[in-house]
Amino acid sequence: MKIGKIITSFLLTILLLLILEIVTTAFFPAIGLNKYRPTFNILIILFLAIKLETPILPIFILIVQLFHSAFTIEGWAFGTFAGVIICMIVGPLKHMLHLSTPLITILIVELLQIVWFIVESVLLFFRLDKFSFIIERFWLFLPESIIIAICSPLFFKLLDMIWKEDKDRMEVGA
Amino acid sequence: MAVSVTLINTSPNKLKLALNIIILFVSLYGASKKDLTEEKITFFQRIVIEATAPIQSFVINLRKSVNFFFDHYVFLVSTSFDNDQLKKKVHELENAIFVLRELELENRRLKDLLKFGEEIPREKILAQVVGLDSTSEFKVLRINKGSRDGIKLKSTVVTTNGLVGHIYRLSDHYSDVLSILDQNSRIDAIVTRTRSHGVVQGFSDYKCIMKYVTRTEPIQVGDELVTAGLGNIYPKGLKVGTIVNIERESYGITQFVELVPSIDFRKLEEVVVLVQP
Repeated sequence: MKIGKIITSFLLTILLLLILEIVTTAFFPAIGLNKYRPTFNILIILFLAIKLETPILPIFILIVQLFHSAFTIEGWAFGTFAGVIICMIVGPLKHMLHLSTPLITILIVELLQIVWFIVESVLLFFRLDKFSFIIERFWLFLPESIIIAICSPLFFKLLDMIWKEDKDRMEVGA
Repeated sequence: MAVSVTLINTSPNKLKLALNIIILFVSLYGASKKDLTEEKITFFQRIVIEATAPIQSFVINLRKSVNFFFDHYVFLVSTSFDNDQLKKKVHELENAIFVLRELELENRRLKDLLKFGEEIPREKILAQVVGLDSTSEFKVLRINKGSRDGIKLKSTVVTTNGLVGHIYRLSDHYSDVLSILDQNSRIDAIVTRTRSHGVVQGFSDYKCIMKYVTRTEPIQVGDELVTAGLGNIYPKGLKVGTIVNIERESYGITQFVELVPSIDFRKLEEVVVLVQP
């Protein structure tokens, strides 16, 4: 894949992230959805981790998290750590992960979000030393992660279009 | 359809491992240095916030316009066929009156906000809420005033009803407010009736808890709390909330106190930032 194409695709991905962050932080509250705010940065990082085969993936994750940190006080570090761990877990399994149907995509995304939640919560617990915070996070995470998982086939299709390469360089799943 | 993109043709396992380890260490360092009560904004964050916050503000304000449009135009389409010119004129006038009333209410609200805390020797800056934190576990608001408007880090944020929180992060034209509902927020408070001291901390979407209140303190449900003025962030005497639940266990030296903030955070539109001269 040419470097120009990589940069264009990544910039479009970041643009999508910014749009989704604005939807989450301004549009949802504007229509009265204050309690739950699905975090779409996870979805984008999961897409990159599952679909991209590149050694600079951790840098992509870091950049996505840096943009995300402008919209949350959580910052970039916790998510970057969780994202890289996910990336290391997914790496060896990549050839087994065929997102052939929306249902499988939903299940895999939900499963990886659970891993993300566990990794980030452990880190937050060490940092904040507050178990109640983790419990509260879990009850928010549950519905939000389900929303993200349900949305994932649609967003993965969109991101597939953004990252699409010439046909001879693509591996098309069953 | 799954798309797998190969960016580097040669086996890049060593580079991948090295980058993974480096980024893991960098993120661990970042996590260990993270302060969840105050943050100095980075140049990068400043650019992203300054570029995206106007859109957040536009989206929030768009709601009012869309509501107005639907309430006063779209829902009236079916009846408009039956109405003559005069009735249309009446509607237009009614709409105008409605807008004026809304403006009057807003005006009154803003005047009250500006009058609030006249005795507090701090500069008062009026601001509008333009967004919330991207993750639901953090109770943070974004307002449309920043360092260029004179706001400083750790400035107190209030409304006429009481304390909202403090400025956590600042960019040129926007600021993030760590609300009192956030679990990382700590406020030294006193119960007005008994003068009992404690530390108020965020607990859930609509409740806070008061910690370190000794079992012997005769506090009751319904007691009001104000800021104690200690800690060098919040001025003394700002309304924090009302006690709604007290649990005294048979063990321990403190009691579990729950309180509801004096502010309805779901309806928060405008705030005042109190900046120390």
